[in-house]
Amino acid sequence: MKSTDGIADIVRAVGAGETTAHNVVMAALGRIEANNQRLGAFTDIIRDRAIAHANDVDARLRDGKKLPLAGVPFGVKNLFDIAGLATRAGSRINRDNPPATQDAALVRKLEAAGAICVGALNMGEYAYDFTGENITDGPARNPHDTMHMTGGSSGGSASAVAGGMVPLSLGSDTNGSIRVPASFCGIFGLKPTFGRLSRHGAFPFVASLDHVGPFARSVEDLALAYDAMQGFDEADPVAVRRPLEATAGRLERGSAGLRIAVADGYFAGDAEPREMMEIAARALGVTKRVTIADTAAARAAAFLITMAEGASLHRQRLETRLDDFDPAVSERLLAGTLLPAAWIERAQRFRRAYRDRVLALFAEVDVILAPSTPMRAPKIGQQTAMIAGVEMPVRPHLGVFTQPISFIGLPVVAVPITVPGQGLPIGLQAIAAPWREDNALRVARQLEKAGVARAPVARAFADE
Amino acid sequence: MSVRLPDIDQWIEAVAPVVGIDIPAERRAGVKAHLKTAAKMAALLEKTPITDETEPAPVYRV
Repeated sequence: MKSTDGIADIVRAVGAGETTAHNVVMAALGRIEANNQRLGAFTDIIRDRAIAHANDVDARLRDGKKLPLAGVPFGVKNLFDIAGLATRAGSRINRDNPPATQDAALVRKLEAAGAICVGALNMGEYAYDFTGENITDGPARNPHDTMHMTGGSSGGSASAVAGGMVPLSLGSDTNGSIRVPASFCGIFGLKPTFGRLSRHGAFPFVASLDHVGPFARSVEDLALAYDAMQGFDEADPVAVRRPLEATAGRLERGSAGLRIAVADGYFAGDAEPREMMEIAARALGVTKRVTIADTAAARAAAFLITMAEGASLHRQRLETRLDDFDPAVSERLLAGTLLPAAWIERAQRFRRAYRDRVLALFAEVDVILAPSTPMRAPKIGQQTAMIAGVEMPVRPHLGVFTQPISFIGLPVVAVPITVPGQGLPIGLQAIAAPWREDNALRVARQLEKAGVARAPVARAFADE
Repeated sequence: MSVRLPDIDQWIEAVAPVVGIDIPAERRAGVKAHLKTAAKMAALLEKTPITDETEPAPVYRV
C-alpha cells in the first residue's frame, strides 16, 4: 500500500485479499524508518509487536472473522499506555517510570477491530503545549514544511498522518491539542464530546478538560476509527453510558437538512483564518452568523482550571525533579500552585453558565463553524507573531479559538480547508451539540465533497 | 482591559511558604509573568456575572 492510502482503502484491500495486514504494516514501518529522522514524529517504534499483531490479524481473517479496521497501522501520542513501554507523556521524568502493564483502552479497542499499533508519537511536555516542540525529544516537524511547527501538543500524531507514515493516529485535547495540530498539518481530527471516548490508560493533564480522539486524512477514515472506539468504560470516571452511535454510514447525507452558522465576534480572526472561513462558508452556502457571548471569559476560565489542575497533578514532581522539566512548563505549573481556590471554583461554575449559553444556540443551529487557529503554522522556535497588528507571544495564543470550546466539552471535527495559492494549511472547527459528532462529521464530509476540505499527504512524503 | 493587579512579588512571598512550594530564583521571572496573566484572567472572569444557582456540571448526561 502507498503512503497516500487511507483507512478505508486498506480495509478494502486487505478484506479483498489483495494484500495482507503483514504487508501493510511492513510498508508503514518502512516509511517510518525512512522519514522519522526528518519529521521527529515517532519516539518509540514497536516493530516486533506490530509484525506479530499483523500476523495475528491475518490469521483471524483466514478464520473468517470480520474486522472493521483490518490491517490499519496506527500510532499513539506517547501519553497513551503501550504495554512494555514507559509512558513518557512528553516528559524526561516519566520515562523513569516502570513500563505500562497493559495498553490504553483506546489502543485495545482499535486492535480488537483489527488495527495495529506501530508505536508512540512525540508530544509537548505533559501536554501543556500548543507548538509540538519538545525539549527532550526535539520538535515534531510539519510535513508541509519541516522548518515549521506541527502545533501541539499532539504534534507527532499530526506529523505522522500528514507525512503519510500511518493513516491513523490518536491524540489528546485539553485546550486544543488535537485541533491546533490538525489545522497546522492540514489533516482531519475529532475531539469528541467530553465523556464519549475512554481516557483510561492515557496520562492525565487536566481531569476536568482532557479528551482523547483520532486524526486521519479523510472524513470517512475519521468516522471509521471513531466508531470503533466508542463504548462506555467504567475505568474512566467521566465516561457517560451511551449507546453505540455509529457515524460512518451517515456521512453521505452531507449537510442536507443541517442548520449551519459561522461564529463571529470573538472568533472573527485575522486575515488568514477569515479568508479560510469565507471559502468554507461559501462552499456550504452559509450566511447565518451567531455570536457566543462571554467567550473571552470562557477562555480565561479554561486557562485558570488548566494551571491549577495541572499544578496539582505535578505537585510532587515540581518538588523533587524541578530541573528535569522544560522551564516553559514548570514555570506555569509553579504559578498554578499559588492560585486562590475561589478563582478555580468560579471558573468551574462559569463553565456551567457558558455551557448553558452555547446550548441555547443549538436550538437554532446544528453546527457552528469557527477557525481552529488564529494563523498558519509559525516557524519552529518562533516566539512572537503579529496578531491583530500587535506583536504577541505565539505559544499561548495558538489555542485562542479552541480553548473555549473544549472548556464545555462539545464535539468538534477539525477540518483542513484548501486556500488556493497558500503553502501551509489552516483549518476550521465544525462544532456540534453534545453527542452529535455525526452532525459535525456530516458537515466536514460536505466540505470534502465540495472540494474545499482536503488532507493530502504532504508533497515531499507522498508516493507517486 | 484595565484591572488592578496584585503585587506579584508579595503574592509569591506570602503564598509559596503557605503551600510549601519553593520558587527558585531562576524560575521567578517566568512564574511572575504567568501569575500576572492568571490575575488578568481571574479579573475578567470575576466581572462576568453568574447566578448563585450556577453550580458546576462538567458532564453531559443527555
